[in-house]
Amino acid sequence: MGLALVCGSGEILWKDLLPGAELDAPSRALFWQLRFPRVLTAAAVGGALAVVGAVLQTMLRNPLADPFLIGVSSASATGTVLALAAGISQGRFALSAMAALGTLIFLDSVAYRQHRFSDHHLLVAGVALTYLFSALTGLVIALSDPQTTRGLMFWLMGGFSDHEPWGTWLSMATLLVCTALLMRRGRELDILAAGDETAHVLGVRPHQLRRTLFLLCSLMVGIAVATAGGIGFVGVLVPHIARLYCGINHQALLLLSAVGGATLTVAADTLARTAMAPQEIPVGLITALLGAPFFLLQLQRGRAL
Amino acid sequence: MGFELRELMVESGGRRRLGPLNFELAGRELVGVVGPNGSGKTTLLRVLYGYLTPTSGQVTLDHDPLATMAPKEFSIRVGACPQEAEPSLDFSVEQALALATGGDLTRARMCAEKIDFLGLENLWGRRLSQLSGGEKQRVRLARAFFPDPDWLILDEPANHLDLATGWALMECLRSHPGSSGGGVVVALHDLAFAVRFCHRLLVLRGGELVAWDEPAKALSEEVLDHVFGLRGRVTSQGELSRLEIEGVSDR
Repeated sequence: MGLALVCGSGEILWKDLLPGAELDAPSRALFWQLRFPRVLTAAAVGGALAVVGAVLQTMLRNPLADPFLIGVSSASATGTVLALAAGISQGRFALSAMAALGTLIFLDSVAYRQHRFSDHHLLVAGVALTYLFSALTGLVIALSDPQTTRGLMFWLMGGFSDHEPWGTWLSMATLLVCTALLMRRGRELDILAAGDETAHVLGVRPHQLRRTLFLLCSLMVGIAVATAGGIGFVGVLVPHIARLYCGINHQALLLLSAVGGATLTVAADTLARTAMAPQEIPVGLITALLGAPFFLLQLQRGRAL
Repeated sequence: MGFELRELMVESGGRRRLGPLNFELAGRELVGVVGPNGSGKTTLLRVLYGYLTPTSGQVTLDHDPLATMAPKEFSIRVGACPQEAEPSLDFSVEQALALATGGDLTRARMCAEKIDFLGLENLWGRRLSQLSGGEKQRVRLARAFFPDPDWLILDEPANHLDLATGWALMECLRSHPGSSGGGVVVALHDLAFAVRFCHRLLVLRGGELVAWDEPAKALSEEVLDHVFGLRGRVTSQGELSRLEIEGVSDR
């Protein structure tokens, strides 16, 4: 994180940031108004995506589940693009979170048949939804005027170059509050991982617990996508690695995922703005370039999808 | 007292799976639920441990309707062992047991070692994915015993267990059915086991109650023939009953 704050297209050195050091006015403005909020936003978005990935993996008992895999992020993207194309950019957070929530509630109704949970149904429906929402997003972009189109396309690829102060605070607050609430349900998540019927006899009501998890997850995904667009694979990669260290202990897993997701995304964003400076690469491309090969390698090793 | 079922009915997919059932389980005995495949044994047990909500009718435990009981309180009064496939997320044996002790690994070990016939101390440090079917079953059974519940509801508890462990388990259930006013309900496909160990049998066919009595009376030659398609009889010597099967019915 420290490194991320120092690197960038304007020269700000370590010693300038130490307490007592004097920073000239343009540098100070650059730091506090651009770089600091950007790093904070990247951390908030990355942390949120990783935490949601961890929760979804447990809920679906599928070690490679992720908000992008089951169509939730795509729904958020459609919500955001609609808001942006209609010129109500402030409303995109609400629209995006609502789209995510709607998708999760729909998936919940698909997955539960006669009170039995079927993750197979949920995954198939999720893939179909991903296609549907990608098409809708494409349609909105195609129908908007050329000027807007370019902005939307860049947003879709994922990045932090464009941020508003309150978007930063909103995403950070969402990450902290939702992660804390999820960690309080950590014990119940441990039990849910053992199967619905087992969870039931151990005193956890799987259907009710899922409702709560869906609500918190959609809030986190919705705001993360509305802030930074499509940043894929953080949600698979980070919890997957975190699991190696904390097994099924969800309190530790969620915390580690939040920290890991934040770190990975900040690192990717730093790479995005410094690798070909002053040209910027969308962060989503970098995470996909890192994440997809990892994902494929796991599949090749015969992990269950 | 105990479990009371009134006009209980379970339907799914437009088909009746169970009922109408009316009976009481008073406790202090080992009750076996028997019937051919698809007769509703698992469905009935799921209703008793609250996983399945009946389509109509009422189930009460000590006069409290199951539907209104708090999950935590219920899981302390009723311990259950469902037949469920293992999850793909991997647990260690201790972690899997600690799910029933609020995450306390030390207490999980202590409780597990008290159930000596399950031999869980040989499994410490291993992961569920490395265990055989019988060893996994031991872990799942142990969890049902943990909070020392009044009632135990076990779906095919002897499944995958070797014969000696299965016998030890059934002997334990027969000699201490329900420590504090509860009882034990087991679904069994093995009639010889059911006759040998259970105090009373609940015979199901197509979701309906055919017989509800001591093994020798519940499994009359007629019931064996009509429900199970077997020629044979139950003989009793003192307290012990035994099933003798001659062959499959002619029809």
